[in-house]
Amino acid sequence: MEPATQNISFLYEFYRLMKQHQVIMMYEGEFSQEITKSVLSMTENSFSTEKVDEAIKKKVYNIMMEALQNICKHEFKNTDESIASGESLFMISSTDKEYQIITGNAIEKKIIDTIKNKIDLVNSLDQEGLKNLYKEARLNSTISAVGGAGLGFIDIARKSANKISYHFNPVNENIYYFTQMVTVTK
Amino acid sequence: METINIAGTEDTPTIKFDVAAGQFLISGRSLPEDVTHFYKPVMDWLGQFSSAPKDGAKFEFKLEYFNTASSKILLDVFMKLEEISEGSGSKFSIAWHYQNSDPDMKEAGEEYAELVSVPFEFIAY
Repeated sequence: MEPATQNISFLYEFYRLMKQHQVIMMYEGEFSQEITKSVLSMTENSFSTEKVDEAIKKKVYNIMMEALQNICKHEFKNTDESIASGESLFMISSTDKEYQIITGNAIEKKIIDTIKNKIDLVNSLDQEGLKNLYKEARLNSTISAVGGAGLGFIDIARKSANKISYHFNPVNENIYYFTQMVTVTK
Repeated sequence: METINIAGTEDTPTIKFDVAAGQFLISGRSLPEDVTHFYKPVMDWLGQFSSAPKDGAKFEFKLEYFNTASSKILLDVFMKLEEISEGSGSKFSIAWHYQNSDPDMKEAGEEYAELVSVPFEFIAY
């Protein structure tokens, strides 16, 4: 029987790609609080060798926390055989000039506008505007059934200080894959 | 009145509320999955505290990280303290600790201080 070299050599390709894109860590699968804690703690460990300002690391950590909990609370989970169920993605890269926090998760088509409006709003504001929006939104917010305060994107935008990039790819008629990239300048 | 003594974990803070010992502390990380459930003992405790407030009580917050849902709950805690203070005439203070390397945590405290009448003291460590 032929050795399965061809089949496993993709791992080296994968490794090469991850190096090329300076990926610190990547996780794919269903998200939970336990996964959130693990991803945070693994990233924190790898941060200990990064020669970057503590304040910057903390911003990255905060963004990750909100982004991961956003997925936990809002990823589309269904019980049928749909391709889109529980296939969320988290990735963090460290380039020379910035950290990139990238997430992907399936959502229902009907919430696209809600997400889009939230991100477009925070992208349209400067730091002072974001601060005021956060204060006002927090005063008026209530904790939702899934345990969110509706402040995640505002906080992410404040900590990032850069614009949030996003995209929606159709999976099928009702399900879209939502990808988002948040950066923190080093 | 009841004492709260909750040990911190990697996603929930240490909470020590003890009137007899004069200690009121929330410290560590706060990113619980269900903030309402986690902070219920604190809210219940504040309900009891309102009928027997301790003048001069100093509430200490020494947080490393907190998520946005916790940020909302903390505001509720501060507003409750303000309400108890204004209703009873008792004076409280809030000590907001932040790491020297963490300007965002200091700013978070300042934003709370702007919203409530209970005085804040800022302590760098």
